[in-house]
Amino acid sequence: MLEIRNLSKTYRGASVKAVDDLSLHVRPGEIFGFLGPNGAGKTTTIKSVVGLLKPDQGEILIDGVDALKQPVEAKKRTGFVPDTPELYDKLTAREYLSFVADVFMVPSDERERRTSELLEMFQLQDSLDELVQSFSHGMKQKLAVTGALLHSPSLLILDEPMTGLDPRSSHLFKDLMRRHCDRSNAVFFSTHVLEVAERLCDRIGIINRGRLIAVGTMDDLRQQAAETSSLESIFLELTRE
Amino acid sequence: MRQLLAVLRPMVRSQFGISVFKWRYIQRRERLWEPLLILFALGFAVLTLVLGIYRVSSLVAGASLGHPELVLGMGAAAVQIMTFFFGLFMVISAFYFSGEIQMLVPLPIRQGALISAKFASVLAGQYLTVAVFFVPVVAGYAQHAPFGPAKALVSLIVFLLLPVVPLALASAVSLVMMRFLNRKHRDLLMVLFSVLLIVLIIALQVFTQGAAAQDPEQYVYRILGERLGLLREATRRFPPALWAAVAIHDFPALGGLWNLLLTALSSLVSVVAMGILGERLFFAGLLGGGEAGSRKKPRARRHSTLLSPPNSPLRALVARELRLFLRTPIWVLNGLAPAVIAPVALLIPFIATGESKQIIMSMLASPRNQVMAGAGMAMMLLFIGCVNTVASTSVSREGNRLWISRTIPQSPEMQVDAKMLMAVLTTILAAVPPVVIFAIVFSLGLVHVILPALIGVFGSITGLAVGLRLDVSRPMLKWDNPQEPVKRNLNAIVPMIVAFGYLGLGLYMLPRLLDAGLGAFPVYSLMLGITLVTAAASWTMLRRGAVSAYARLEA
Repeated sequence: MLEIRNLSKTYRGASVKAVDDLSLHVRPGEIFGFLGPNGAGKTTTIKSVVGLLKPDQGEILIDGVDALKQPVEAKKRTGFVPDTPELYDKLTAREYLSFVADVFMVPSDERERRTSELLEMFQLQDSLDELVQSFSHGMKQKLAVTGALLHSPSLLILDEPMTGLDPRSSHLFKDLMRRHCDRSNAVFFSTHVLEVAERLCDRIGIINRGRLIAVGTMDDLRQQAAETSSLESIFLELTRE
Repeated sequence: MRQLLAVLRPMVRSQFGISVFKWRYIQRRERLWEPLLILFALGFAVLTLVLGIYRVSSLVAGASLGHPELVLGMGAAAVQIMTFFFGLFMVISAFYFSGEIQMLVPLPIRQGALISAKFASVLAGQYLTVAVFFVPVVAGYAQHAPFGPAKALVSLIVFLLLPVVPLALASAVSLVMMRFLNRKHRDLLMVLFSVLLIVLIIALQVFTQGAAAQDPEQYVYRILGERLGLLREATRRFPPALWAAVAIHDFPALGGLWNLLLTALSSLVSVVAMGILGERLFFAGLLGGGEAGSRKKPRARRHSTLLSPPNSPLRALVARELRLFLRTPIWVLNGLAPAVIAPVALLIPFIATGESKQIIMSMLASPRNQVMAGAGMAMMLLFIGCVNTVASTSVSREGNRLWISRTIPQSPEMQVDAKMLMAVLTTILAAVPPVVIFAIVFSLGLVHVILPALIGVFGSITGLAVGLRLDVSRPMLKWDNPQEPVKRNLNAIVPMIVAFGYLGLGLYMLPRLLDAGLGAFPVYSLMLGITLVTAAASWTMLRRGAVSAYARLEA
C-alpha cells in the first residue's frame, strides 16, 4: 500500500540528514506504527509521503502510484491528518467538509452516507454549522479525521493522532483505524504513546537519527533488541545514544 | 504622559518595522535587495505624484483669477477627506485587530493612554501621505503668492495639524461603531457599515452640490468680488480646510493668526474628545469582538442534506478563497477596501467643489480631452487593480493551513486559477464604484466608460498574476496575527512596478496616438489589445511556473 525506497532529506542549511536512506513497506490491511525520539525524522518522512516536503532522493509509491511523479493521483488515494490540525477557522464544519468532498470529488451518493457515518461516530452532528474557530482541540482533530476519511482513502496517514485527545476520543480513533484496515486499507501513523503502538499496530518501525533502525511485529522487535518485555524497553534499548 | 510614551515607543517601532529593519538589514545584512526595491518603487511613485501635484497646484494657483489661496483650500480639503476615509480603516485595524493589542490589554495601562498611543502611531503614519499631497500644493501656491520663512513655518505647523481632526473623527466613529456592533456577524457588519458610511458621505457631497449656483452671474460676481470668496465657496463644507488655508495665506495678519489658532484649537479639542470617548468605549468594543457566542441549539436539522450540493473542484476552491477572505475583516480592509475607497477618494477633489467640476467639464468638451479622461480612468483602475494585495498575499494568507492545499488532489495550475479568479472578481467589484462615479459625474458616453473599464480590469490581471507568482515562490507562511501576511508582505511591491510600467507606456503612447489623429475607439482598442495580450501571457506564465513553485513549497 505504501512503499518508501531509499528516502533521504536534508533541510536547507543543515549538515545532518533529517531522513537518511529510509526504506519501508506498509501492506494492505495493516496498521503500521512509526516510532522514534523527538527529531528522529518521523514528521519529515510523513511530510515527504503526503507531498508537503520534497525529498532529495528516493521513491514513494502509494497504492502503486509514484507520489513524486504523479502527486495528484497519489493524493487521491491518501488521507492525512497532521500533528496539529490547523483547519480553516473561518469556515463552518459543514463548509469545510463540503470543500473536502468537492476537491476530492467524492461521488454525490457517497458524500452524505460517509459524512453521516463519521459525524455520528465523532458526535459532531450538532456542531456542523459552527465556525471551526469555536472548536476545541479534540473537536478539530475529529473534524480533520472526518475530512481525511470522506473519500475512503486506501492509505490513512496520521501524525501523532492521540495528542490532546480525551480517553473516549482516543478509543474512537483506535477503533476507527482498525475498522479502516479491515476494509483492506492501511494506516500509517507516528506516535509517542508506546502503549498504543504496542496494542494497536500490526507492525512497528523505529526511526532514530533519520535511519530506520528496526521494523517488524512486536515479536520481531523483541528478537532484534534482545528484550522480552515491553515496547518501551525495546524502544529505549534500540534508541540508546 | 509617561505611560503614553512607554506604550507609544514600541508601537511606533513595530508599526514602521524599525526593529525588524535593524535586525535584518543592518545586523544580519540579509535580503538587502528588499529595502532597495522598496526605495526604488516607492521613490518613483512618490516622485511622480509630488511632481504631478506640484504642476497641477501651480497651474490652479496661477489660473484662479488672483486667488492663489484657492489651491491651499482645495489641497487641505483633499488631504483631510483622504485622511478621514483611509483613517477610518486604519484606526479600526490598529485599534482592534493588531497583534500587540492582545498583549497590551492585560497590562496595567489606562484605556485612554492605550488608545491615545495607538492614535499617535496611526497619525505618525499619516504624515508621509500628507507630505506627498500637501507639500507640493504649498510649493505651487508659493509660486503665485508672497512666501517667506515665516509663512514656511506656519505651513509646517498647519501640515502637522492637518490630519489631526479628520483622524480623530475617524477614531471616534470607529470607537462608537465597534462598541455597538457586538453580535455574531460583527466582522461583516463592520466592513459593510464602514463602506456604507463612506458611500453616504460621498453621496451627500454629490447631491448637495450646486445649491449655491442658482444664479450663476450673481454667484460668480459675489465669489470673485469678495475677499477669500472663492476659497470660502470651495471649502464651504470643510471649515478646517478653510482655517488651514487662511492661516497660511493671511499670515502674519490678524486673520491668519486667528485661523491658525482655530486650526490648533480644533485639533486639540478633537483629540481630547476622542481620548474621552476611548476611555469609555475602547475596552467594551474590544472585548465584544472576542466574546464567544452562547452555544446554539443544534441547527444541522435545518438543512435537508448534511453537506452542500456537490461543486466542481474549481468552484469549491474559489468559494473557499472568497469565504476566508471576506470573513477576515483585516484582509478585507487591506485588500478590498482601499481598492474601493482609493478611486473614490481620488475623485473627491473633482466632485467636492463646484468650481473644479466646472473647470473640468469645460475641458471635457474637446474629444481629445475626453479620450484623455477615459484613458486616465483606465490607468487609475489598472493601478488600483495592480496594487491590490488579494493575489500577492494569497498563498501567504493560508499560513499554517497550507498543508490542506498541498494535500488535496488538485493540480497547482487549478489552485492558482482559483486564486486568480478570486482576485479578478474582487478587482471587478472594486472597479464598479469608480466606473459608476466616473460615468455619472462626467457623462462622456459609453465608449469612454466600458472600454476604459475593460482596459483597467485586463491590465490589472498582469499585476495580479505577477504578485501571485511571487507569493507562490516565497510566501510568508509564519504568522500569528492575520494582519502580518497582508501588511508585512513585500510581494505586493513588484506588482506596483508593473503598474508603473503600464502608466509609463500609457503616458508615452497616448499623446502620440492622439496627435496621429486616432479617435477614441481605435485608441482604446489598441490599449485593450495590449492589456489583453499581457494578461494572457502573464496568466499562462503563472500556470507554468506554479507546478515547480508548488513543488518547492514546504509546508
